[in-house]
Amino acid sequence: MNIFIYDACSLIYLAKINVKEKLVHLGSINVSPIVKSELISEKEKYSDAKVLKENLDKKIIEEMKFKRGKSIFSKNVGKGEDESIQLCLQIDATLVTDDHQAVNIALNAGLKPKTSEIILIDLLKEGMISYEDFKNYFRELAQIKLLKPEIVLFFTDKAMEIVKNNSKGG
Amino acid sequence: MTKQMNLRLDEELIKEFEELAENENLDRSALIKKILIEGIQRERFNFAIKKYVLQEISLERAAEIAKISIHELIAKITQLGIPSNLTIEDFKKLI
Repeated sequence: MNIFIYDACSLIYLAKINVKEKLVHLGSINVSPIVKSELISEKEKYSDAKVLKENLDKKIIEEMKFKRGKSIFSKNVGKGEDESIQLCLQIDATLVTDDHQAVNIALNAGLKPKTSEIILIDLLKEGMISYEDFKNYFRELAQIKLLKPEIVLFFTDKAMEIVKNNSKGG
Repeated sequence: MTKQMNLRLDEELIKEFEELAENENLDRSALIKKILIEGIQRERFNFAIKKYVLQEISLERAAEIAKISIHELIAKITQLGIPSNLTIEDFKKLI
């Protein structure tokens, strides 16, 4: 089973678009201890935080304890992102992050991170969501993240490619 | 613990403080303290957002600098119309 380590912003975005329940089909949903505390902070104020706390309580999202080394990454990323990258390197897991700095630091560290957009593409590729679902989820994600038009176009093309390939494969 | 800090201000500014303090029913030092706290929070937030927009720091780092939760930062950047800092080049590297 694939092990995914999500950082806080990715899980918040995926919770906002209500696709979180589908993520288990791709692999286990794990967070580092710092990310866990970031997710549940202000749970009285933000409904996403409340939902994420319930998911943590039900062990749908699991906190992964690990031996945290001294930060070896840039001070330009947060403690949660730093911890998530370290965790992925230690246990050979896939990082999910929605941040430019974190993505590039992870790439330089030899990881192949994913973003929320790529998670949606993976769900489509694996047949876990339909093309219609993809379009709806992606539209919402693009609105929340205020994705640039070229990025929307890029993923629309990718999704179309997958649909074509899937139909060719029967 | 509090510490005393001496500050030289223009007479005009002191007058403004006094007028505002009277309007808000606060004493002058309480008002100055309130404005300083709000100003520091605003400066921290503006600095963090500027660094985020320039792609110099991550979203979580911005929340740490601004001393607000990641939930609050996401809500604020969406409200301010600030797009995700991921670029098309980033995605091309990932797919």
